[in-house]
Amino acid sequence: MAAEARWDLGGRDVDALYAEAQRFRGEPISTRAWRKLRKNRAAWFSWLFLCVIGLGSLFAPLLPIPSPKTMRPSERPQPPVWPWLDKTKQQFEVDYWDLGVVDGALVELRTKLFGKYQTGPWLGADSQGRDLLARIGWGSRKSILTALAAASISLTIGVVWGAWAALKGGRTDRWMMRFVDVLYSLPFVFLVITALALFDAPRASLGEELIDREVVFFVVLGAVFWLTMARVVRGQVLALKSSEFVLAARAMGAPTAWILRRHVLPNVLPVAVVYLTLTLPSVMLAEAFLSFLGLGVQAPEVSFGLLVADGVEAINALQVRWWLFAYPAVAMASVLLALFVLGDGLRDALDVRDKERPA
Amino acid sequence: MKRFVLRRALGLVLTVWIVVTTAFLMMRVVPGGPFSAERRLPAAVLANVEARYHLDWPIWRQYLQYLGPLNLDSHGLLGDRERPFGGVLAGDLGPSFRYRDYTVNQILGESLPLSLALGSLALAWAVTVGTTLGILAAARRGTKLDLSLRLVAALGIALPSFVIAGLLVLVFSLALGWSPVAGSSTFAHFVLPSLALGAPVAAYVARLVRTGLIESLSQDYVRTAVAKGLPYSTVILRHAARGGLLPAVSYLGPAAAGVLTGSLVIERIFAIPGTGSHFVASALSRDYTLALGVTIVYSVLIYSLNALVDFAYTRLDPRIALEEL
Amino acid sequence: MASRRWASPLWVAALSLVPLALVAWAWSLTLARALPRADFVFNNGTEVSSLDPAAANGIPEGRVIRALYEGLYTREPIGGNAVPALAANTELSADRLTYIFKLKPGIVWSNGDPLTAADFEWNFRRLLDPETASPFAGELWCIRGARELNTGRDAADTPVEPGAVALGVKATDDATLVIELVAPTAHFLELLAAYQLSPVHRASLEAARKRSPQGWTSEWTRPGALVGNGPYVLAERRLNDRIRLVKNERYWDADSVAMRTIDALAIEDATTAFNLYFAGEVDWLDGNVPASLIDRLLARDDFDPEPYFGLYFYRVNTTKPPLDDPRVRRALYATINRVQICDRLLEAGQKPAYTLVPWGHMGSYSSPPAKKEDLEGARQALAEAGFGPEGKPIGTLRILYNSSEQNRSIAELVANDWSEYLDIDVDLENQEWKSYVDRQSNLQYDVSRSSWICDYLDVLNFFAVFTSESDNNRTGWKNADYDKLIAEARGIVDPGARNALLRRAETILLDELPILPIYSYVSQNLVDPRVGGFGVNPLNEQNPKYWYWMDEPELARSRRAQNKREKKVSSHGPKEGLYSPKAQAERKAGGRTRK
Repeated sequence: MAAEARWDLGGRDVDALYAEAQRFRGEPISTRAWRKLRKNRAAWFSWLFLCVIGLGSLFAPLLPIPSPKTMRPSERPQPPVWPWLDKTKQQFEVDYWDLGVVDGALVELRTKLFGKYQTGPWLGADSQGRDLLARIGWGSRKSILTALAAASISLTIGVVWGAWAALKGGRTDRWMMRFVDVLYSLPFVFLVITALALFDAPRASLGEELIDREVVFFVVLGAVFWLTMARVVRGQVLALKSSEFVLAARAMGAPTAWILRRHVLPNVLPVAVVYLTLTLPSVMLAEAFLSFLGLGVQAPEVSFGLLVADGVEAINALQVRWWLFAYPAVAMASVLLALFVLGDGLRDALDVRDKERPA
Repeated sequence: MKRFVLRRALGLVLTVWIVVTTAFLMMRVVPGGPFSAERRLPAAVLANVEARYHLDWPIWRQYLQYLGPLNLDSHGLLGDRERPFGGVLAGDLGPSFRYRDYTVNQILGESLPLSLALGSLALAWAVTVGTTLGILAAARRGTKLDLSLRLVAALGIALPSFVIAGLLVLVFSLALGWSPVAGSSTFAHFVLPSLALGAPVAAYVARLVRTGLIESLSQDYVRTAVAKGLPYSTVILRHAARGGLLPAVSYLGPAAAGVLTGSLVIERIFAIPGTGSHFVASALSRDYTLALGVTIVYSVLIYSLNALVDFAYTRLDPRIALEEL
Repeated sequence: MASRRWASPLWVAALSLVPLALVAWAWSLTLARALPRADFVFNNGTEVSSLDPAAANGIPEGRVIRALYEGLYTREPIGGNAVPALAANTELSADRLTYIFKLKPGIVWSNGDPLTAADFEWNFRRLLDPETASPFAGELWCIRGARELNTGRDAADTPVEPGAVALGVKATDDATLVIELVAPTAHFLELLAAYQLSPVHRASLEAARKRSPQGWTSEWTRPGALVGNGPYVLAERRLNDRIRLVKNERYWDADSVAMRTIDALAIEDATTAFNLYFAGEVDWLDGNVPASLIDRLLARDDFDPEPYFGLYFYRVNTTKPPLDDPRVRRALYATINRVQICDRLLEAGQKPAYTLVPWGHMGSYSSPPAKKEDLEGARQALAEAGFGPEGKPIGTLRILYNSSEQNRSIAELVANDWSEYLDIDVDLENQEWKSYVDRQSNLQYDVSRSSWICDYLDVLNFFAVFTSESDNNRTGWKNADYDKLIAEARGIVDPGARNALLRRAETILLDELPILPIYSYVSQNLVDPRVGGFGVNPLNEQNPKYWYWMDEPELARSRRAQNKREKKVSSHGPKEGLYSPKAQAERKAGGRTRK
């Protein structure tokens, strides 16, 4: 009965059907996802917002804002002034910490473009007289770069670890996942503090600029956040391993590498992308938390975490400098909010389910 | 059931052992010791202090000593000096280096109840409010109510907890004067911290309950229930909620461990002497025993809560059998 | 089956009861924690490491231990000099090697036991016992036999039996204590005023030890178990929260003690403590005030920074080229713009430091005149050493500091000066505390942030740090002349001759410059204007015994005596004041005579 049904082609020719199938080219996952994302108004708006913020913070050195480091003791604590009421005529000074090659060039270009002009204290200034707008600009840059770097590290380790464990299976899989469980059960701050101190030791003995403190910070954060990624990827690969199309490919004698490239990777990537967008806000929150404790980004460089922590200090019974609290908090919250909404949108668009449970 | 408990208990012992070993080694590899200070002690005095805590022993011997009564004394492996403390297996986590009048057990005994109380308060309101709002948003999907609830929830996730704490202090303590600024001597002192601590949890729970419910509302068995003419509320609470709560439950396991062992940020801002501050301070001051002690508490809690979550899964989803876990 | 269990009203009811039960449990837990407000509340800044004087070694510990115990000597609140406490009479032999102390009669412990000279003898022995592991023991090596007892080795480094050591501390009768020194020690009485030398109650320690051989160290310091002899007894201790002290009615001078209860809080967050002060829940904050508010605080009459005997300086690694050349160090010294650091960055009244001794003087000692900033001289010195535009390149210098925003800002200013005036590349390197301490001890640095706070009011405390054999030197600097001068000064008692020797030593040090002084500290007390008996001294040591609340007329009088331009802030203390029984009696008598 079943065998007969299989060949019942409704009177059509097998060859014609085959030709039709050949003509049909499926829409690639990415194009379809993009289309779905554009339909989701909130997610699309978040995406645009993040693009603007991302570009703005990436090119913050190029904007005609003051240096986030220059202290003006005479002017503090300066409440915000509306741009059209701004009477201060401060001259821009090149006054930064050790900037990298790219940043240095950008600042140079900025001086060429805008000369001595700089914006006034539109968002106010902090207790040292440093311009808050400039600090938010540079701070978002630091936070976003940190988050991107740490998230890519976690993505790399997580995908490799998770895929490897799932593909190998058996005892290797069990031990690799046991390792992840152990790291999960270590308190986050304990890991970060010991890792920071550990990485600092070789830095000292090398006595060279080989490892930057920043890099250590990225690596440590990335090394903590890959755990979830590894679990998720492993789950996805396990599901794929037993899926019909992989089994079919196996049965047809396709080489493993081909299966990996053709079937596994394209199916793992959407999950990875979704978790990447969800890792970004987590890393930024962790950075804020560590900066609050004085373990994160070091002054005079700024980050969202440092700014918001300073803002919390501004809430005291003697004098509330609301702008120091409100503006950084709003800036940070809006970026995180946009990331969450975008992550949700991507999850829907790529049709990724939460495959973490049951373990 | 018996097998499940047995296997989890075995897993707990194994995990804690690996965690203890890892943390022990990590602590010792890190530069600096519990008694290194800017004002350095004379070498002979430092030797006295370190000998008192048996830090002059080789690492492996200190490690065995820390694990507990493995009856090594009879083989002369622990030396002839008297045993400094019982060890993990005997339930004795040793003396603290930073707080010299306290043992780690005493420190945990004093601080853990406070963190647990604060965490319970936070969890109690966060889970109740989060679930309620999540169900409401799912039931009124697409309305203005849903939209505003989602926005509030997203804000709760997007703001660091110390910002929420700062806002609460500003409004309720400094501006309105309704609440004490900080401290831990009355119930009123715990209200603001538990609000700040529970806010992200409530937001996450609301979000997960909403998405979970919406997904299970599209399941066949729910549609059947609706088709049979059951009231909408009954369908949601009786049929859909069961599957819909799964993601929230799996999130709550690890989240509860974090909330119950104390948030150092909240404890710092509100001056609550809970366990949270020890996580950072002990690692920074190289208080080996205390750092290991809080790590053990955390890992035990997170492992047990995960086991509890798995157990809850079998109750919520009959397709999953205990034996498979 | 499962579905019925899930949906049954019983289950739902049980589930909704869980949060209620949690709230009820948390509520019941807080019930036991209620405490009425103490007469005086101060923030100690952190949890004390121990209430055992022999085990403690820090400023917060001192504040509580001074309330719980009293030694032979103590410090007076104004000026901070050593004054007799339990010692009624002190005799010094002609060779200045033997001290004979007569104890005040009728001194008792807080449990009623009499306190005798034998208690002191036992306490000195205990402090030096290796098993006690006291960090302060090294300071007592000036007592005969102390070093041998403490290290288990004699001067020739051969092991000795602790029992065979004759310690130079003897109780000849119940009221007489004799202490013999190895060499004359001018600062011995200052040393005796250290809180670490307060006696503890032998019987309760030994009883605790008998009861629990393993946990006894933590047992005898519990409230109820702790027996002291100070103006207060320990009523309650909550780790990381507060220590409640209650007046000790058996204290010999209980009549002079005003505050009936005192709370020492352990709040580490500066903003939180600050908010509590403004809410009237804290009456005195130690130096931990938010840096961003200093300018506002200076305008108020409850914040008065005072000179504090501490020095902020940079250590230089003198074993590492090119820093092994004193001329290079002189160039570095002469280019630091200290005025900018003090006036623009710190702002609380810190003063530029150019000498080893902060503020340039201490007691009868004053530092030799020191060179100040000198850009031309600096360039010249560098050129003489063969560096600079015509010479070899000097390479990159690294400033090591422990992570803190203030350290970073200072390092940046210094780095800026050096690169601008001397054309030296400077890198900043921050480390968390313990790693930083480790690096400094192992001489793994070029230039390193440091500070030194005086232990007792004697300049020698500063000089001793940089002798060759000192554990705290940590610069690799060794100078035989300097060592000889310090050793000589130790034995001399005449202040004039001693100061002359020390001045010569300081001249050597400031010529060689193993350290680069930057600024002298100030104390930063934020204290309710109504608090009386609050000491102003260069160690910022406070003794709870003397605190009281002023009433309205006295507050008005004290304010008139103060700086008039400062804003008068309202006080949270009791308007009617709170005076000790003795002061009350005196006021009554004084009031009658005035009428």
